[in-house]
Amino acid sequence: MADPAIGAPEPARASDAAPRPKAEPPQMPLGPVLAAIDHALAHEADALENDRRGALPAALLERARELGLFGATIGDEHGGLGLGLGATCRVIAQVARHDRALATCVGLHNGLGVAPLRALGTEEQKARWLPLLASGEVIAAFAATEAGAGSDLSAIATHYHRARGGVCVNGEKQYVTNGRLAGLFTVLARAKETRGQHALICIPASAPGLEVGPEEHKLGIRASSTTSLHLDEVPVSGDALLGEGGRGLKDAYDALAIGRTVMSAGCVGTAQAAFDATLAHVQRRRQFRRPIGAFGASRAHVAAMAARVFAMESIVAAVGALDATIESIASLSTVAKVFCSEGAFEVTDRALQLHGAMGFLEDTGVALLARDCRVTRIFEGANDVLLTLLGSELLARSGDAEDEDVERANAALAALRRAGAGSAGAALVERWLGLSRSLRAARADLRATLGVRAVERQDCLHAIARAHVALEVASCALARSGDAPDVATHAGHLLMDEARRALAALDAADARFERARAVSEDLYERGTRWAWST
Amino acid sequence: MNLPVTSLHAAASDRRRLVIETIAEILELQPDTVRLEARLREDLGMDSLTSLELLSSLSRTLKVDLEMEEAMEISTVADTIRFVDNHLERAHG
Repeated sequence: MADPAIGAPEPARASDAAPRPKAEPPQMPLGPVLAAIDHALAHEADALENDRRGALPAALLERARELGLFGATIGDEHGGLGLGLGATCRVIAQVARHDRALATCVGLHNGLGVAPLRALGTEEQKARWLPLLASGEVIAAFAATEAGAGSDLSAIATHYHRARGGVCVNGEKQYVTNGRLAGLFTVLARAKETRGQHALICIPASAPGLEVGPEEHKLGIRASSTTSLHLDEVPVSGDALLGEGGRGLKDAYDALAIGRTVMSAGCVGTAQAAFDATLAHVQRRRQFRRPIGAFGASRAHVAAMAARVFAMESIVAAVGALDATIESIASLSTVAKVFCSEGAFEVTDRALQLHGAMGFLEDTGVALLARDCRVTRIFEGANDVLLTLLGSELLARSGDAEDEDVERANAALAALRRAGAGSAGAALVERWLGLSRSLRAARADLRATLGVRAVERQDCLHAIARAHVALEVASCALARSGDAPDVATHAGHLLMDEARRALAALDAADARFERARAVSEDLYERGTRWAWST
Repeated sequence: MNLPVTSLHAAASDRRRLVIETIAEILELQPDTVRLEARLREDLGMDSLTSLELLSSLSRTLKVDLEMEEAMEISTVADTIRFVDNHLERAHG
């Protein structure tokens, strides 16, 4: 079998593929930070009780402040921990192992809440707000979504108009995380006069005309605050507009890339917690005179969970290790978000299954994990929309060079060899290269056959996006083989199976597309479903 | 009588209007706020998906097949208008 390490790489070509990880700048040792979080939250975070109460206790928020969690991403010159994206992800994952509602609060604060101000704020804005945000005295919220604008933020109606000394903001936002806790809202609005000219605007919670709605009742992360936000002629000074005028929509999408990464880290922590609980349970619980973990079906579940958690950690680490510029993480953060949100749901679902009826009871905490993570497939960009976006990006760019794949394959192969997986590792990497070639061929085929009209075929865009997600994550997991060779190998195979299935779906795509159209159109026209007659 | 914008002989202003109105519709903007020099991504917040929507819409209206590779070179509103003009020229020989 050909060894990809032997093949001479082709000359370098221009490529706009996702950049590869670089080393994060040196920063404070992370181990003690994670240990302190673990120690404090193991004793003080009662996620089940918080879920029942529907709120985070003041004492827990105070503990989070003492741990420095609200200043994770803020530089030490403003009183924060100054952690890079990768280290912040580890912190959020650690919090999520104990309490997803707290992780959502802190993650949103550090991601969407603080990132726009850090990236776009003037020195005066930063000096005013960052120390307060770092200490957690002020908690941040991000308000973009509206009743008529969910994943499509260009449709927002909230607007601002020039007023004496600044602007006035009017509108109604929904699903505002941290709504009841926040002292500062970053609001996406558009200029009333032009309907264009979007802007991100920092608005203190104390501003006249700003009203926070009641808490929403949710399926999961019930202890996190989710409210609407009503803005009625809210006056703000002109310097509250972040960044260049008119680029607010792009700035919001850039902030979402950070938010998606931090949210993916929360998914990792959730999956780790579900996996740890399940691993203990299947060894302890006996049925038919044996621990249930000894049965083949249980072993398959446990191995699949291990592979998924390992792969989730790997892709989040890869995004976190990228140069911390928003542009560089835009594509890979989307991959991580889709993969980790689906992965957390899969892992918690397997955990429920292996816990049997006990898992269905709230007191085990497993049901809470499953409820808490479900929303991650929806917020920060619904996965369906993100897959469409990713698919259209893959279709639009043709510069992904094979030599880059070979380079990544070699990195994975070297890691596999160091981990002792010689010929099996080579076969695995060869399979990855073959599937990567198949994906490139599928993209070229769609470009040639559908052209720009591919935008009307979301099924095809999703197929290539899903194959891309699986292969990206597989390469990250294989490159991390040294941590757990067997788990990495299993993850690699499972992910490549997923990539193969995604590409195979293109074979019968036209017929399936037409059937789905016929079924849905018939149902829409009739306005009702069929009768159950027999 | 006004010629359809699909005609090479249609007024340049009509083709410009078509492109601007299509962009405005996709991004829910007022057409008169779309400047010729505006960059589709940086200034208007378009991404690959909305760019493809724009080109797909133009492709349907103009009844021409637009090449994906070439289309992705487009950076500004003015580029898009030039792209449409070039395609109409080619389509009409």
